[in-house]
Amino acid sequence: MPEALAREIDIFETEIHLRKQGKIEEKLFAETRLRRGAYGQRYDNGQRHDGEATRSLAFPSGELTKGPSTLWDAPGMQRIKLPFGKITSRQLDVMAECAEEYSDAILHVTTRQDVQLHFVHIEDTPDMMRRLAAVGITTREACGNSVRNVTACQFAGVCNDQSFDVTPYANAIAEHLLGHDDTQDFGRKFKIAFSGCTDHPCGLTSFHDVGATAVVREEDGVKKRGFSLHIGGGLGSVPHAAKLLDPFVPEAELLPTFLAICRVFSKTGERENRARARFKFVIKRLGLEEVARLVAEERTKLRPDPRWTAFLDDLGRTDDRPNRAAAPLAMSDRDLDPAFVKWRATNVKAQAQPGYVVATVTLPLGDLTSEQARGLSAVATEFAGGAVRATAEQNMCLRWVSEADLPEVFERLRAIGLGEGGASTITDMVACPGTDTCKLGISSSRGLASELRRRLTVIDDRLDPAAKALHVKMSGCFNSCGQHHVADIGFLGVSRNVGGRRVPHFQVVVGGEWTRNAGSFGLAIGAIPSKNVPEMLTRLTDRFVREKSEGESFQAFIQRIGKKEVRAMVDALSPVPAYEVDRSYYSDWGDPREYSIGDMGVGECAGEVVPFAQMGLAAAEREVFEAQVLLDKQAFDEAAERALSAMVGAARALTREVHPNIGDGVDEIVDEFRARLVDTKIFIDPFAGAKFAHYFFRAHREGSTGQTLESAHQRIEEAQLFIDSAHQCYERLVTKPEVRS
Amino acid sequence: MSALPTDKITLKLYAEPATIPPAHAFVEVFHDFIKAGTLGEMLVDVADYGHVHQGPSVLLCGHESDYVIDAGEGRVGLLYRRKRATTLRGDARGSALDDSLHRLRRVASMLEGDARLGGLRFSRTELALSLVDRLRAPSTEETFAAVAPALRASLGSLLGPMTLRRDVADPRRPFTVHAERAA
Repeated sequence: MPEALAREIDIFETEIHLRKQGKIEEKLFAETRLRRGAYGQRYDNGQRHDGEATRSLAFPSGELTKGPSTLWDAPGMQRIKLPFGKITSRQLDVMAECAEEYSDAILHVTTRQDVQLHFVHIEDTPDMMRRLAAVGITTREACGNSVRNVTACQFAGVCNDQSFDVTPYANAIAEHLLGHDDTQDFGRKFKIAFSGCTDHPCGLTSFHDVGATAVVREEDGVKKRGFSLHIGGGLGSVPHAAKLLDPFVPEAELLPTFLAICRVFSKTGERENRARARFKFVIKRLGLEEVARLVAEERTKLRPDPRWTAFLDDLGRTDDRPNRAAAPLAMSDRDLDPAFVKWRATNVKAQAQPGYVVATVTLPLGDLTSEQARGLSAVATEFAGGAVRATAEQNMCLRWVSEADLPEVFERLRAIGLGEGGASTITDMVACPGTDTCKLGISSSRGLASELRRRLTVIDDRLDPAAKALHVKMSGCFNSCGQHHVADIGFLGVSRNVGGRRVPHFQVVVGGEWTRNAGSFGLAIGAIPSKNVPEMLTRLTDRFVREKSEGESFQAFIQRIGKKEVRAMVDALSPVPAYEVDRSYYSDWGDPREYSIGDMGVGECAGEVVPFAQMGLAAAEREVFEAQVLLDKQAFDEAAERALSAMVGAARALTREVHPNIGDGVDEIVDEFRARLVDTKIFIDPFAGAKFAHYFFRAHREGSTGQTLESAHQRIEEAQLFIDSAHQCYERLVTKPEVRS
Repeated sequence: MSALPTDKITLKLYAEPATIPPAHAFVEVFHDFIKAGTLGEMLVDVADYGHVHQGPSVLLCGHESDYVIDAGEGRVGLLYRRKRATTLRGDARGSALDDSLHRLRRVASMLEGDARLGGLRFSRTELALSLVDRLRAPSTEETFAAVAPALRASLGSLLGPMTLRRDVADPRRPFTVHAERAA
């Protein structure tokens, strides 16, 4: 194990001991452990709702915490950072061991090419980190306010469409920025992605803090390598498309340019308001031009470092080495197992190197067992140069597989339950952890994904190719870890109050684009109960298959039929049966507990005011939808104004709960909302804070003239989030009357 | 004091194939265990991994132990996982293994008695044991020789005279022994 890593882990273990003795303050310890990838998990505040009531979990260490409201003994999540998703067979074996010895024997692949282990005790983490370090893995800066995992297209180096292999550059950035002085003082996380081309979605450079895309430029007859750099992208609650900082940064300038960007983020990023601390807000506040100027200025101040170019002398250092000779598969489909032929159609892609292919291993919900990981590791050792790569679609892939070996590889994968096809198709759902393990989850994204997979797998052979090609992604909350904004059809977890009980819902998001490095973001059309999502998906896909024109994409189809049509489909599935009629709507997928039973009781007063508030919020949602329609018509100012109007309506409906005499004037509504719900902290979201209220205040302050497509789009996103937050606030007002006082 | 080199023990009782209900049926039962405090130990949550192949289909996660409806090896069973050294129960007979076996048998009986699981039955003639601690219990013949007497003494309460067979199929797996009642 490298000495520096060993020392780093020793320090962390000491910090664990000191925290147990109360000698490190909990906030400091929290950041310390987060920077080592040791994250919190649902119920780690010691509170769990069992379907009837919220009960305390009596962990043995009592009140000892590992961070604010995070109990010491509560199981946590360990994120394992894997630059560009590469995992050697030995590393996979060790992760399988760690999953068995410290977790629940499940390895979970994330959308950022990490692996996560759940239900881990904090005191087990140093040993686990040592075992990982012994095979060259560090968990340092896997979480926290740091440079997160540097991701890259899983086909880098073997892709037919790439400008060149971005792997050595991604590796150099990951190594250089890890623990670098210029990356230690961020106000928020910082994400970097590399792509070898502009057209495909593997690198997803459009929604990262820095997205680097390989470019070859010819100068004086000489081809030179470089990168176009886009900055300030991000999904999160409101997606931002990254903006072009520089169309061509020469390869020798890549590392110092990244350092200069990091310095600018460090110096200008928000510190106090966490909700506006990502790099995208710096660009929004200062403007791209000024940020570019600051980056150039910081670049001139950097002291030269030989490491900036040293890696260029050995770009082959990160190359994968095939261990089987390239050979074609000399059998016709007729002579092959039909299951193999079907799998190959979706999961195998020819490499740029003749005779070799990439085989994608489909992982349902991104999960594989320790036993499967060992099996996959053995296949990689024998057939794929001893490595796999994790993908942003929560799969893994085997590269450098000789085409002639494919049938045997398939058989070996099938024997360990990893022979499922459908990679990157409608059955290959992407879902964040949601309410299964995430503290922020609102709805069960994994439960929903599991149910959709189950249903679609049954009819897979009958699915129309156009429907099969769709990408479906879901997030359990507005933080968008499931990347629902860039799916053909996305689902975003929210909740709604129905008759005094909370019902899990999902917003239906359409219009996003997975291709072109996730080229555009979808918008929420409206919310439907979780239990109606499968039917919604069926209706949307059936209609697309039935009515699409020749060669028409799903985005173009939605654009053509208009969002009003989609809204009508949503509306048809939005009613929730009364609790007494069908209780299934009041539980989430895969979880028999009642999602909410209104355990504080539904008083007569609350019962009386429910209709007004809910009607007001529903009207606000309608207005947001109308804003979308205006946006589609390129009426940007009107769209923004309608979105603002929706926020005003929601704010009034909510404020009337605590101030029945509120008038209709916008300024009055803003002032009363601020005084009675924000200043009193009633509106404050437990996790997002006052962020959503500030969306409202800013929109009111800025007005709606001079809007662009991007600003109006953002206003609509913010309005939807504000209204969702209003629903949550209303829920608190109903179920916890004491918050009114 | 455990007679084994580690407290990280897993034990698995196999279900009789004809009696196994769908995995999702266990989800509700396990949630009810948490709600009712049935097991008298700190339980945290239920995880449904029904989508993975031959894995931990349904996990009842606790602080000291996990209880898992496990489909590993292609055979469904109830797996008890002891995660850390813990206070032994008063009715255990002095070792972590005895205590683990006690907890496993108790929960197996409870599941068998739950009408929602429709007559589920576990075999009491065989059992798998793993020591999931490669540092203290490597998967070697030496470990087997060292722990076999303790296994016979403890597991005898369930199986009587038994044969023990060490899993040697894959050295990367944790130390695992299959115990079966002698014919």
